[in-house]
Amino acid sequence: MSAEVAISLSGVTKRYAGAATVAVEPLDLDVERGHVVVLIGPSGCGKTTTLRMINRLIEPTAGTITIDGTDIRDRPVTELRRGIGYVIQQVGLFPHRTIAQNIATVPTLLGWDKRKVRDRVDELADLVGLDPELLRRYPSELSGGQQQRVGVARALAADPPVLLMDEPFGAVDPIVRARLQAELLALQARVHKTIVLVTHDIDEAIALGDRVAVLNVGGVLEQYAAPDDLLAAPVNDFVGQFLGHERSIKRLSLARVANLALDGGLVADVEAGIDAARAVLAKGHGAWLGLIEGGRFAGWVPVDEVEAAGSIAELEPEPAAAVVRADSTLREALEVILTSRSSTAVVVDEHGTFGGTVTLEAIREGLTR
Amino acid sequence: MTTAFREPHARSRRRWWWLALAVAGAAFAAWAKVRISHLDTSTQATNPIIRWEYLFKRPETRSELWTRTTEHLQLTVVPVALGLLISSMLAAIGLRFRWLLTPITLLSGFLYTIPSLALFGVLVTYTTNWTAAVVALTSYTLLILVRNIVAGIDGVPSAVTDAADGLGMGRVRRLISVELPLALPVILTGVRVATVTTVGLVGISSVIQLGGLGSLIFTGYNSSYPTKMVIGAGLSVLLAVALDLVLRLVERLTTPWARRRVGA
Ligand SMILES: Nc1ncnc2c1ncn2[C@@H]1O[C@H](COP(=O)(O)OP(=O)(O)OP(=O)(O)O)[C@@H](O)[C@H]1O
Ligand SMILES: [Mg+2]
Repeated sequence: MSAEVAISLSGVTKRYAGAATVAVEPLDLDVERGHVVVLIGPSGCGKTTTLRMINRLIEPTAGTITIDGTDIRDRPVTELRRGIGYVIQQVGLFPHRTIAQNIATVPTLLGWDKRKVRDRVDELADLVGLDPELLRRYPSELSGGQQQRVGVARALAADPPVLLMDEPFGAVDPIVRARLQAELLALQARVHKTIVLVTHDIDEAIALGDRVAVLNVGGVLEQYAAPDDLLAAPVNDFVGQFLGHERSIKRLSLARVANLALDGGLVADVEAGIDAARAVLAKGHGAWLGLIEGGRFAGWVPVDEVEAAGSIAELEPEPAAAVVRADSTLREALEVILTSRSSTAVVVDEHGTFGGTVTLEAIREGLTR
Repeated sequence: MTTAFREPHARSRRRWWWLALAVAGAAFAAWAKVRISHLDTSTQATNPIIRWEYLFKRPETRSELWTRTTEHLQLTVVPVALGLLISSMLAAIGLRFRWLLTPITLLSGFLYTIPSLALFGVLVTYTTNWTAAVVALTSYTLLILVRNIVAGIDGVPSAVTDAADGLGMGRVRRLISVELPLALPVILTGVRVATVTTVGLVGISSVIQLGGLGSLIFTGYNSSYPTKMVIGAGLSVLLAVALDLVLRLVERLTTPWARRRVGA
């Protein structure tokens, strides 16, 4: 076993008493430290069961689960659970406790002193983006999205290294969900937890997961891979169908412009003069030539004007409308390419310095690497 | 979900109507008795329903009413408190071992059906009047209290108990700091119903010489002195209403979270 593995399931099986079929067949799964692993699969395939076996809300029928190499049965169950953040599907805030008290649940159980608890609650409110004003309210006085944030804050309260999240954003509308997902990623970049997250939204899985485990009915692990590998090469029809028809489009959201081999494209430096510019045109096909001036992208000029011009100074470049950054997704790049007259996106950094161009061709090649 | 988390308003309003009806009934009975006795013995002096001199002129009246009321109060509070204690234990057993819940409910339901006078009569051959009365009255509270405690705790959303478990609360901790507070409105509703019912039942206890407001009614009845009946009945109703209000206040104070709602 590698030292990187934080949670390890081996041969974990669950058969509910009186049930005809097995809820989870012998399952082996390793979760690396600091990674987000997403469990996804059709309803009833055993995602929740698997998740709840990790904090012993459900006892496996067979098999072993270890966290940091120690069997989870070796510790008192309450102690184990206080060390694992748990976000349940229906949020499950305590209606009779204020938001602050809800967030403080585990620290209070652990016997932290009042001051420390209060400071921690303030810190968490800030971390998950909750207005401190809300801390004195009761859960029924919060919106669905705010409640979800409180659920996450409560799970993080005692700074557990491991976080289990069961459809944490299931109860909110798509817009709020997308925002919460983005915030979770930003949060994860700061706290580096080992997270096991359950969802049945493939886009959520792709957006959040470092690795995605696709489960089939009976807890059968069909494929366990990074989202891009999953989309690029589903191992069978089941996984393929689950990923949906728009696998390439989905991959566009994962890859960044920086991942592409950027070339200069049809671009010439103003300093080099008109002959050099014509030489660039001779090397490729295109209706527009890009001009660089002082390291910055000055704009596009129609090819026939370049041919006709006596000198570069005569040309009047049109400013580029399609501009992306190196950390833009290919999906964003595609969007601007489709709306640009030159069919080319210009890559610039935060100072406006020219970094290359992206064409449809480059994107297609990027996907078939 | 089978149990309403909060008592519907219509039901509590109906109970007030019953109380009003009881007062009116008592007054009418007293009035009718006077009319009848007046008709039968034409020589008898008029016998008004309320003799104001009883209330305001007679020096012993005050202490008599006070004594009767406190007797009544004691015979209400002690059985309800005992009943709550016993019901809590029964409910705890029933919640822990589900299969015992049905026998427990059946038993308390059976106790509830025994006519109160018969139960007094049997018990009193074994013990003192007071103990017999308390035992009988306590047994009547069990059904409603056990049922409401169980319903209250079962009514706690499973997401909430799940969260409590998942965050590492122990069983006892969960019961005390999550389930009981959330079940409190339902439990207190049970306590209120049990209390109001007991106030009414205590009237009977005067039969076995334990005083209470019932004894005012009975002596009034036996001596054709309607004033005592009216005052006894009126105070009994007032006592029930007062206790009901006190318990409502307790509920309000202990469940601030249930009052505040979105949109505040
Ligand atoms: N307490 C239980 N007793 C018996 N069977 C159960 C129990 N809980 C779940 N199951 C069964 O085990 C299987 C897996 O359930 P589980 O809740 O893990 O599914 P899931 O993947 O989380 O589904 P969903 O996406 O709908 O939440 C289902 O067939 C379910 O009916
Ligand atoms: Mg589930």
